[in-house]
Order: sequence, then C-alpha cells, then structure tokens
Amino acid sequence: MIAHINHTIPNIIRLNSICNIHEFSIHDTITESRKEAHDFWEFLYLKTGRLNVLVDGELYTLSAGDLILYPPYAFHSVAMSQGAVAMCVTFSTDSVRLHQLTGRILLLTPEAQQSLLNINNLKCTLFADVKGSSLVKDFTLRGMNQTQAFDSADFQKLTNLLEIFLIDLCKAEQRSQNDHLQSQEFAALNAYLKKNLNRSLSLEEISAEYGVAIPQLQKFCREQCGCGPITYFISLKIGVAKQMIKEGTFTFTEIAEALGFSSVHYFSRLFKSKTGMSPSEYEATLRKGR
Amino acid sequence: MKQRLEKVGEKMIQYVQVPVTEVLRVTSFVSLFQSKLDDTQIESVSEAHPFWEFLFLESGKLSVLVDGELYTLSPGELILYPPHSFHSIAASSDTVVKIASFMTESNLLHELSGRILSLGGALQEDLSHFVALGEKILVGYQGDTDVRGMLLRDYVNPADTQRLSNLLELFLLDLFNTKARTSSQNFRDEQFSVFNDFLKKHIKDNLTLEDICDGCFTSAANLQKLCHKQCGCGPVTYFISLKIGAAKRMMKESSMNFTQIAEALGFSSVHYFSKLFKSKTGMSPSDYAKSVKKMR
Repeated sequence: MIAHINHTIPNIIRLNSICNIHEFSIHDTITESRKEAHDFWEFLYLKTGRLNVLVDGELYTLSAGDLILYPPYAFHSVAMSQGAVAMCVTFSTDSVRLHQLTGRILLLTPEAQQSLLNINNLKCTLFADVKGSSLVKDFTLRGMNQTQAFDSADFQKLTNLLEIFLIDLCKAEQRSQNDHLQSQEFAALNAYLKKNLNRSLSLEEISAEYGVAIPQLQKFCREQCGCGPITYFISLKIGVAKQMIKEGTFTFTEIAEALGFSSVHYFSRLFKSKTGMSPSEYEATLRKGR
Repeated sequence: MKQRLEKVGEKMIQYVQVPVTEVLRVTSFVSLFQSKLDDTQIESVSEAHPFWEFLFLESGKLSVLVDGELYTLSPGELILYPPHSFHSIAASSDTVVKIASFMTESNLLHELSGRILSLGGALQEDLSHFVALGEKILVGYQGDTDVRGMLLRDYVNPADTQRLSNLLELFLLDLFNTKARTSSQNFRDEQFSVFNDFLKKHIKDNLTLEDICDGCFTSAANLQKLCHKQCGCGPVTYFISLKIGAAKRMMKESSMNFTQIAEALGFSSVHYFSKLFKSKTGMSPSDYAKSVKKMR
C-alpha cells in the first residue's frame, strides 16, 4: 500500500461575497459627494487623474495607478477630483490579512493594473450595475445584477482572480516594507561611514564597530548600492575629495590626511584609478570650466 | 442573493451582495511537476490513487492506459482521470510531461475525464507558469519508497500556496472551453490491434498468458514486449485493466449486481472480483458504486 502526502490548501484570502465592481469618472465640479460606511471591504483604484479621498478623518491624495483599501465601517468620502476615472471594488471577507494594507496609498505595478482591467472586463460580461439609484425618495440600491450570460464557473474565475490580486498586493507590500527596513539600516551605515571619513577602515573594523556581521553588511550594502562597503566607503571619500579640490583651499597633502590616506601618493593613485584622472588633472579641468 | 440595509444619514442604502460560488474548489495538492521520462521510467507502475490527476504531454510520445482505455497523446494534449482509476503510462525516450495531482470534492471534473483535451497556446502558457510556481513551493519527496508525493519547501508563504491553488482552479475551469476528442482505438500497430480485439472478444473468459499467446499466434516474449511498448504494462495487467473498465461501466450503466458482473467478466467468484477490484483501484466495488450514484 502506498501512502501519498498531500497538502491542504490554506485559506489566506477568501472572499465570501462580491458587492460591486465598477468603473466611473468623478466630475471635477463635485460639490458634495456621498459619505458612507458599510460592513464590507472596499478599495478604490485611480486609473487617471487625481483624487482626494477622506477615510476616517485622514486625507489621501491619489494619483493615477494608486489604490487605497479601507476596512469595513471606515467612514469615507471622495472629494476634489481632477479628471479622475476610478475603479471601485467592494467585497466581504473574513480574512484578517488585509488589515495590513489599510491606512496608506499603494502604488500598483503595471501587472497588477492589468489584472484589475481583466477583472473588470470579466465582470462586465457577468453583471450589470444595478440601475435606478433612487427607487423611491431617500432610498438607494447599489450593487450588481446578473446578466443573461452569467455563468457560475466564470464567476468563480472572477473571484479567484480577485483573490490572487489581493494576495499579490499583500506580498508587494511586505516586500516594500523590507526595502524600507533595509534602507533604514543602510542610512545608519551611511551615517557611520561619513562620520569616519578621516580614518582608514577595514571591513573587519566596520563590522566590529558597527555591530553587523560581514556577510550581512556586504549583502545589504550590495542590495542598496551595488557594491561592497569598502568600495562604497572609498566612493564617499572620492566625493568629498572632489568637493575639497573644488573649494581650492586645501593642498592635496591636507586632503589626503583629512580623508585618512597614509600618504598623498596613495591618495593620488587611488583617485586616478577610480576617476580616470589624477587629482591635479581634475583640478585643471575645473579651472578650464570656469 | 443577500441584501443588506444600511442607514447613512437620512438615506437608506440597500446593498446587493452576490455570494461567491465555488463550482470547483481544490482542497489539497499532492504533486505538481514537470518531468522528463527516460528509458528507465518507461516501464511505469500501474496504480490507482484516491485523487485526481492530469498528464500533459509537452514533447515526445505518450500512451496512457486508464481503466482499459488506451489514450495516445500528441504534444499539447492533456488527459485527466478521476480518483481510483487504474492507470499506467508508456512513453518513448525523451518524453517530457507535466503532471498535477490534487483533491477536490466537486464532481464537475467528471465531465472532462475520459477524453483527450487539446490545449491552446495561452492555456499551455498558463500551465507552464503555474508548474514553474509549483516547483518553487513543492519539492519531490525522496525516501521511503512506500510514500509518494511532494513536500512543502522551507519558509513557503501560505499565501503562495493559496495563490497556486487559485491558479490551478482557473486552469481547470478553462479546460471546459478546450477542444476534446475521444480516444481513437485505431492502433497504428496492427499486431497490437489484433491482441486488443482478441482480449475484448474474450472479456467473459478467464485467460492465462498462454491462452492469449495461442489466440494471437505469437510468443509470450514478443507479446510482452509489444504490450509494454504500447501501454506500459504486461498483457495480463492490460486484460485486467480492460475488465476493471468494463466492470465500472456496468456499475454505472446497468442494473446488474456484483455477482452478475463478476460472472459476466469471467471471475471465478464475486469475492475474487471484489478483492481484485479493490487492489487495483483502491476502492471496493460497493464503495465505487456509491460514489458513482452520488454523482448523479
């Protein structure tokens, strides 16, 4: 008897129902927009133009390609439009994962924008917007009606695509949070190196004083600027050296000393190898430029 | 349709919500990979398992025997078979296949089984895309030979697993729009055709390998070679697979009881029939009959 391993599919983001998917343009002369809150999720994606959205007292200004997601019971309204064409999607879900995406503007990648277009196209074959926004006075009906071409298999496709879109949104957001973290780390390294420009530091010294292991140091430095920490340190020094040469108040020997080079010869050689010209040639080009 | 009422300010707003439909929900993954079949794998195992499986032929030549029905695929074609199908494969060397196996409770897929589906370019791309994604998430299990399947790689984000499953569902739903053909039983190999006709004529009999050889005027060695090349199993297994297929059809389409079916297929007793059926399909005849009735 052969046993087979199988893996149950986790339900990370599962939609229970879809309330509405629709595209609309918002007139620039909008005076008072609808203010509302409801017990399902909603996101607004701006295709073109600019749009201000007020969510629970926080004002967000969206540009083309931006998306904002708000959780159930968020009190929201749109205001101040400049040629805005938006897509609005409302749905209900029990997944808590989406809360990590709320409260900020998310910029969609071209792929994500394309998949929203596909979702909207599929929706248009299955549903029509509910007509008659005011059946009786002070009574409004919103949502979608099934068209004759409605097919439950196609509706599942629509739902699957929307779930994939939301999963991708969560993943992109996680990635950008990581980027942010790394750039903070990098900013700290950058500040440390700038404070120590007068010293000649080895990789071991940077690692020991800065308190980060060499492989990790190399990894995030390479991710941020495409080179190792020492090369980055040298490029900082060259930048400062150029600045000092431009100012013209220091001799090369003074500059070499200020930047922690053991001799002016070593400074000159390094400068030439990195910039393609010697410090004096560089100085000459500056004079010509004046 | 669920309807909700919200009162916003002085205005009543009614929201129409459309509950999501699950016509096809994959409940678990067993495996998902691309594989190059080399000569050592050509002699495949005949097996049955409790989950759905599909085979897609990327390149090369492939024949799949499912419950006595032989399907010969061309590149770009796919065959899907339901749980508890007794199947084996025969392939030429340098054959590349994509295989996915999974579990689902929905009966919708039965509409697609028993036919060869020809995939268009876009669908083939979708398949390549999610098999590649699958290989990032699952890795083949190597160890105990009694255990098959794949393991989740370390640090897999569960969201990626759901994403993959959503893609598989989309792919399966798209299969309903592909061109399908039934297996053509005109075998290019005349000798195999003679062998096949002989067995079908004698489905009521209890034949040994010698009987089959005598009936087809050929040697056992020759017959075994021929049969393995065409359908990946020996002549007797092929004969059993024909009988299993016939038994399943009888359970589905006739009102015969198991004793009558066993008799019609040349089994010495209903007990032996039941035992064989269970060993080949992983399911007893009565469980199978129940599962078929549930489908209706």
